[in-house]
Amino acid sequence: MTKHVFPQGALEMLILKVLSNGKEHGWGIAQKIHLLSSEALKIEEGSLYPTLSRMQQRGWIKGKLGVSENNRQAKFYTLSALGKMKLKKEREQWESMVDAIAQVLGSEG
Amino acid sequence: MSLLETFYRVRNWLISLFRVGAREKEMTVEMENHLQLEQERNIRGGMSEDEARKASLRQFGHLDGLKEEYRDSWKIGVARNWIRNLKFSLRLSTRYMSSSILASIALGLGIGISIVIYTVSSRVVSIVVSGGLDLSERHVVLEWETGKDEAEPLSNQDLKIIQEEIESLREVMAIQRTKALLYPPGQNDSGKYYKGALVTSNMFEVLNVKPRLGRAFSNSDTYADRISEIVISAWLWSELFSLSEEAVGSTLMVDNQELMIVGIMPEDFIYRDSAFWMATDWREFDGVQPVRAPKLDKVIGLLQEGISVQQARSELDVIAANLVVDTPLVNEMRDRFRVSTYWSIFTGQAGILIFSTAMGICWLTLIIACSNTFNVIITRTAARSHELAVRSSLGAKRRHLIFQVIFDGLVLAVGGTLLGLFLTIYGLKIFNEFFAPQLAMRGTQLFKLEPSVMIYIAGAAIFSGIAASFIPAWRASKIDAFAVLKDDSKSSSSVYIGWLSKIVVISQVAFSAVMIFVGLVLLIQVDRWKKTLELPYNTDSILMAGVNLLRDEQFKDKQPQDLINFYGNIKRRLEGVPGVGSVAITSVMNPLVGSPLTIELGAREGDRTKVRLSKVSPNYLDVFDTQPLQGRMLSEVDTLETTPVCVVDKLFIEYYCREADPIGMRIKMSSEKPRDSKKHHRQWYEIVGVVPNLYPKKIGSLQQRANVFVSYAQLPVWSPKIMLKADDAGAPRFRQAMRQAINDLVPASKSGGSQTLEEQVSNGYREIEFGFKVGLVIAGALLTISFISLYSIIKFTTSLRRKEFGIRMAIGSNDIGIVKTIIGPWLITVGSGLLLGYLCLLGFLSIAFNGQSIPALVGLSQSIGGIYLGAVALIGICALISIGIPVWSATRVHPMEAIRAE
Repeated sequence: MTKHVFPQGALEMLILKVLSNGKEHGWGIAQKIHLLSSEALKIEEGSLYPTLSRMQQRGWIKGKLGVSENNRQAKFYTLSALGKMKLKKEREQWESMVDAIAQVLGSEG
Repeated sequence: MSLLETFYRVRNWLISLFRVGAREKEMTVEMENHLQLEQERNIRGGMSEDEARKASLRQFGHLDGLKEEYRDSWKIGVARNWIRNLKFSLRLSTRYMSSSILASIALGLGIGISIVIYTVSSRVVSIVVSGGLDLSERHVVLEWETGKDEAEPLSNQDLKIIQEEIESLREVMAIQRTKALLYPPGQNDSGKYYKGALVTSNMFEVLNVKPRLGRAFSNSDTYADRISEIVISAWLWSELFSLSEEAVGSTLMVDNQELMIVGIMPEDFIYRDSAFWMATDWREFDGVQPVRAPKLDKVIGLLQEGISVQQARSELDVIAANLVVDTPLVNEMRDRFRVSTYWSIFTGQAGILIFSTAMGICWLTLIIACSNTFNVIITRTAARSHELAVRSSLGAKRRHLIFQVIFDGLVLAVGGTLLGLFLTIYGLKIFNEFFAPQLAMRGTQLFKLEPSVMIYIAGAAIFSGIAASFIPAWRASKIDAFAVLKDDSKSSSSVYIGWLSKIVVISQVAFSAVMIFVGLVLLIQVDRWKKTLELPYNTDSILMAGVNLLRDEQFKDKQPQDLINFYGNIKRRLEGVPGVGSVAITSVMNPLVGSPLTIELGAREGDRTKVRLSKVSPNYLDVFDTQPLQGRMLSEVDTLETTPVCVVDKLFIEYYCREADPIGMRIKMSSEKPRDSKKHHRQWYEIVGVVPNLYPKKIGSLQQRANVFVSYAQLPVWSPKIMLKADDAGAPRFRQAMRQAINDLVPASKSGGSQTLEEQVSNGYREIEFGFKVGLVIAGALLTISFISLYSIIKFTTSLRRKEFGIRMAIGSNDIGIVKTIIGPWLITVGSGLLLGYLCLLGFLSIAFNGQSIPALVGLSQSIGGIYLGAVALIGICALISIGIPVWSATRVHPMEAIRAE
């Protein structure tokens, strides 16, 4: 499996996307990204949790202690209104950048 | 970053900072949950529980490192360190409670005194310079140049010409002080005289001030409209209308004329002691002879944009030259206008001396307070050498140690600053409540705290607290842990203050000595001044009122007989009022001021001297319940037809006729004015009697002039002051009778109301008395701050040697031995400080009084040394108390207890 290095801001965007479908804890977020990317992307714990904490500090996501499905205490994250706006903006920027890169790569020159 | 995101960041940062425990718990739960889920997955993959746990931990990486990275994302590391340092400093302050409190009080008092001195002195200077008006650099004050210090005021006619011709000034305004009887319509009996001002209607516009209620004068083209309006001061509003907003729009009777109140000025707006302002352009004086035209108290111009003072001065020179040509008789001694800015008047008057002395005291006070903080920090740090050494050896970084000591200084500085601001606010409140009425400005925000001054001084104090801690902090960070720990007994039992601290203590003692000296001088002077003002009779039993006879047609010919008739009539009227003892006339309203005049003594012809001249009626002495000491008093037979005579007081004899008999001696009055050709200034007056001293020989340290009294019939007085003698002369019935009699006999006189002699004296000297009272308060505060500073530093350093005293006692030392070990070093330090203080004082006095004799103003010529010795004694007592208390308590403690407690 190829180990991917995330471009600047990509991890935050992926986390926001996962949380746009509902609340999730840190492990769950990492698993979902792994599954949704057809196991192509694997998030290191060492970068996941500081990123989550940073996003919470910025107000993009909210974190709250709760009880998980196997009756254990866990911290669940949800998307804030600011986070929704951020996701929309990041997505647009990402798509426009990807298009631009694709255009460059697809050109005959 | 959007505003919303900034808000979330700040909010979450604060949550992380103050709910760090909750955040830590969330982090632990989150990571544990992750490890558990990972472990379960590994078990599902076929691993044993133990292997699964190890694998999940391996995959997670360095748990503590990750937690640190997680915490770093909260960005609260620096703030938490600061909070920790702050808590530590607060604990330290509690540990050394008495030194912290004393240092904070010293700093607080220093800040409070500095701001109060600055605010009061700048306001007083502003009253001296501009009557309290807030003038900018664009305002110029216009007067006639005389070539001397004093300028001459402009008349309404000068003003009119300037207003018509000047182009370099956008507006020109003028003020003439007046006095009027004010009362609500229909309540004539409740009327009271107030000082006020007649002003041009553009006054508030020129000064750029707006009323707090209502409006300024209207810009109506109709003169009658403009002069029917009155603007009143906040304190008059409070006195007459009890702050009711309905006052605006209501009418007020002003000298029997009904005016509408259109505005109420803010509390901090003053012009001298004016209670009201009425608009005028003095047109009723348009036709009068120039010599009789009203003199304006202040004429102020506002420069046009882009025009300099010099340009305005040039234009005014041309106008002045034309005026001199047009009216040569009036303007004989004049050739140009004096055009001054606020700053040039300020620097040209005594204001600069008052202000720079005040600023000197202000800065010295701040320096004493800050150096006290410095010393407290440096000695505290020295006392903590052991603890700092342990921390250093345990790996504490240099910056941590520095920050901790600086925080200690910061806590003291902030505590002192807060206390200082509190003291300032209440200090100024007290000044406004107790001292503003002294200047006849009740309910006025005379002294207002300027936020910029407050921020500046508070900033300076906090900065000095931090700066003062930096040196001990730096020294603490370079501590040799090994040496200190090895030499434990020395570091913990005796405090090494160091040369720097000793220099600061010496300076502190020196400045304190100067401050105590200043304080003592003020205290002595207030007492001395008050004693000299005591008069040898009951000043409450004489009521006085002025009357201007020339305003009335019946006196226009200035016939002396008319004056004699007037006196006879008013005497008869007032002596008929039950309770009135006698009635007399004098030319002098305030007997302590009088009319100074140069005289030539017959015995020493050509020898000129200055005396105070009063023109009085024959029964003048009756109102003082006294008799001539020698010869006779002036009598009814002394008239224009008889030989000119006079009586002199005892002071005159002391000054000029110690050995000769004064009766029969002659004096001639001569004026300093070269143009003066009055007849009475050319004739000789024979001394026929000697009367007791009715007025003080000295006021403060200023020797007063001798008094000469001549008969009002020989030297007529057309603005006489009526004196009424009664047991309770200030009672309303006597005032009413006085007003009624004057109004009946001289209807057009516009009597200025009546005052008892006591009121006269206190009014005449209230500014001086105000100055001394302020001085008294400041002196008290300076003495307190000096004592607290010295006491705190000596007590703190001495009390830290408790353990050493215990050991000394244990090995056989007695009380005297301990006292000797403490007093020795302090004697040298305090002695050096006192010597330095004396040198500073001599330097200060020679700079402040420009090397001239100091004494005329403060009366100190013979007593500098004596007063300084008093200051030395006070400092000595303070030092003895400061050293004595901890020594006494140390000698009371059992040696074993002292060592065990350490």
